[in-house]
Amino acid sequence: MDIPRGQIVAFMGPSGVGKTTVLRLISGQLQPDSGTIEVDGLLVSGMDRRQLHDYRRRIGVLLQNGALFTDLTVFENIATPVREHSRLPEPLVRRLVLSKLHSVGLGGTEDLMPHSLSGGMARRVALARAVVMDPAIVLYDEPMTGLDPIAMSTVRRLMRETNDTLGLTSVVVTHNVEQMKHLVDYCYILVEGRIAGEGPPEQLSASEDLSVDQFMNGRVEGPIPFHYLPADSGWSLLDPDH
Amino acid sequence: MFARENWVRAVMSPFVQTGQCGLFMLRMLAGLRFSSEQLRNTLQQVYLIGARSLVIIMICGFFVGMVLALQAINALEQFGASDQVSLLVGKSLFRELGPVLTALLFAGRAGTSIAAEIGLMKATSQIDAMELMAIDPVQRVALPRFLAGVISMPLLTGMFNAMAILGAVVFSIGVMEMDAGIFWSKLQHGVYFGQDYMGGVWKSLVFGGLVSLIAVFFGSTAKPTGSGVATATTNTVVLSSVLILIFDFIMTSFFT
Amino acid sequence: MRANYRVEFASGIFLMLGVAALTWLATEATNYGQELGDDSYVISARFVNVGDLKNRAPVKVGGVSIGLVEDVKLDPVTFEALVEMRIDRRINELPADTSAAILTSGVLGDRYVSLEPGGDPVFLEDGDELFITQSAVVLEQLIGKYLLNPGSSEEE
Repeated sequence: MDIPRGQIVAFMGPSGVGKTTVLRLISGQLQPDSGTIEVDGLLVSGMDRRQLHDYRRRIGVLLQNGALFTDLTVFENIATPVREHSRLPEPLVRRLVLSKLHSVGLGGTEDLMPHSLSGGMARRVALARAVVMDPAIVLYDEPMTGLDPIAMSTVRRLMRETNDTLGLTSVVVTHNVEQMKHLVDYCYILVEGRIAGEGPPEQLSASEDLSVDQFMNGRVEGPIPFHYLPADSGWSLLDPDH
Repeated sequence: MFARENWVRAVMSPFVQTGQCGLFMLRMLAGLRFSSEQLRNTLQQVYLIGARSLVIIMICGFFVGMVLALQAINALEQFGASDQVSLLVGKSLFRELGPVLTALLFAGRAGTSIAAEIGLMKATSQIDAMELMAIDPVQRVALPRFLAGVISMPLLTGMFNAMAILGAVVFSIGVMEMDAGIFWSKLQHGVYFGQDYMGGVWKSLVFGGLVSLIAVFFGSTAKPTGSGVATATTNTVVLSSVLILIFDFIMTSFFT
Repeated sequence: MRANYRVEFASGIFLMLGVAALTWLATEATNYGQELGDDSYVISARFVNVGDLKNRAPVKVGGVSIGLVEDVKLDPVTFEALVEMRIDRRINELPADTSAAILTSGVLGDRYVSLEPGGDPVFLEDGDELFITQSAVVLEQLIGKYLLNPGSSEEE
C-alpha cells in the first residue's frame, strides 16, 4: 500500500479485519511477519527500541476515545509532548499550546480536567495534542466513534484543515462510510486479510467488487458472511451437540 | 484440562513473574534522573500516597497503642510488674507491630489505589498514548509512585508508632493512673536505639519497597478490562500481605 | 499550576510531620544519646558469679549511671567471669582501689554494677582492672544456705 505525502488516506473494513493492526505496524508497536514498512524513507519494520523512540517523536496519534491523561489539565495534556521532546522555555510552550487549543476551537478550556469535557471537546483536545509538535504523519484510530453528528463533522473538518494547513499526511482507520466520503483523498477497503478495493471514495462507491459493494452500502447479505460457522459445518438446530 | 503444559506453566509462573518483577524494578531505577520534573511528580505522589494514608494510620496507631497497654498491664499485673508496661509496649511496637501493621494498612489503602490507577490508565489507552508519544510509561507513571511509597513508609511507621505511644500514655497514665515518670524512664532506658528503633526503620523501608513494587507491577501488567483491574488490586493486597509477613520473619531472625 | 502548589505544600507538611514523629520517637522513647562513643574508656573486673548481669547493664557510682557493661566473658583458665565496662570519660578520677559489686535494682529488677570509690591517689585508666570485687547474690544459693543451717545464728 502506498500513502502519498499530504493526503488523507483511510483504512476501512468490517470489524476485526486488522485495521488497527495496520496502524500499529506504522507506529512500530507491531513487527510484520513479512514485508516492510517505510515512512518518509525510514525503515520502520526492523527498528529497535531506541530508534523507535526517535521515530515516534515525528508521528502524532489520536487513539480511540481520545486517551487523554486523566490526572492532567487540558493544558498539561497538550503540553506533554512539547515538554518531552523540546527544550522550549515555558512562555513559548504556553503560547504554542494555547494557539493549538484555539485552532481547534477550545480556547479558554486550558484549566479544565478531561472528565469535565464532553466527548466532542475531549476528542478535539486529543487532536490538538496529536498535532502540537507538527509531526510528519498523524495516525487516527476511529476518531469519530461515539460522537454526536455535530461533533463528528467538527472533528472531520479539523482533520482536513490541520492536514492541509500543516502539510501533514493522515492515516485514518474508521467505520464511518459517510464521514469518510467527505474527508479522505484515498481509501483502502480491507476484507478478510486482503485489499478488496482501493481508490478515491467516488470510485469505490461504483466498485464492482461484491465485498466492497456490500460494505459501502451496509448490506447484510453478501460475500461477508452473517453466520459465525460456515454453512456446511453440520451444525443443526435439531442436534446442537453434533 | 490437566494437560502437562498447564502444570508446567503453573509451577513456573511464580518464578517467571518474580523475574519480570525484578526486571521491572531495574527498568524503573534505570530511569532515575533527579530532574525537577521527576521530583515534582514524585512529590505529588507522596501527597496522594503518603499524606492521604495519614489519617487511617494515625487512628489505627492510637487504638493499637491503647489496646497494647491494656493487654500489657493485664498480663504484667499478675507478676506485680505493671511498671514495665512502657517497656513491653515500646519494644513490641518498634520492632514488630509498628512496621508490620503500618505496612499491612499501607498495602490495603495505598497499594490498591496505585494498582487500580495504573490498571485504569492501561484500560483507557493512556499508557498506549504515552508509548506512542515516545514517553516511557515505566519512568513517568511507575517510578514516581514507587519512590513515593518507599519514602512514605518509614514516615508513616513513625507516625503510627508515635500515635501508639500516645495511646499507651493515655491509657496507662490517664486511665490506669500509672506514674508518668516511671513510664517514660523505663521506656527511655529499655528501648534501644540501634536494635529496636533502627531495626524497625529498616523493616519499614523494605516493606515500603515491597508493597510499592508489587502495586506498580500488578497495575502495569493488568489486563486492560474492568475485571483485569479488579484482579490486579486484589492480587496486590494478597501478595503484599503475605510477603510482608514472610520478610518480617526473615529480617527479625537476621537481626536477633 | 495552583493545584500543584497546594499538593506540594501538603506533601511537604506530611514529610515534615513524619520526620518530626521519627525524631521525637528517637529522642523521647529510646535510649538514644545514652550510648557512649569515643569519649569513653574501658575498665574490667573479675567476679566469681555475675548472676544474670547482661550486656549494656548500667555501671553506677552512688546510684548515678556513669557507663555500661560492654562485655561479659568467661576466663577459661581461672573460670572467673571477666566483665568489661565502658565508662564516660568525664568520670576520669576513679581511684585505682575502687571496688565493684553486682547489685539488683529493686527487688525484682535487673542486675547492674555498682562501683564504690576507694582512696588511692592514682586514677584508673583505659585497660585497668579492678581488684576488689563482690559477686552477685544469687537467690537460690541464699535459700540453700538457710535450708542447710535452719536454726543457726552464726554465719561463716
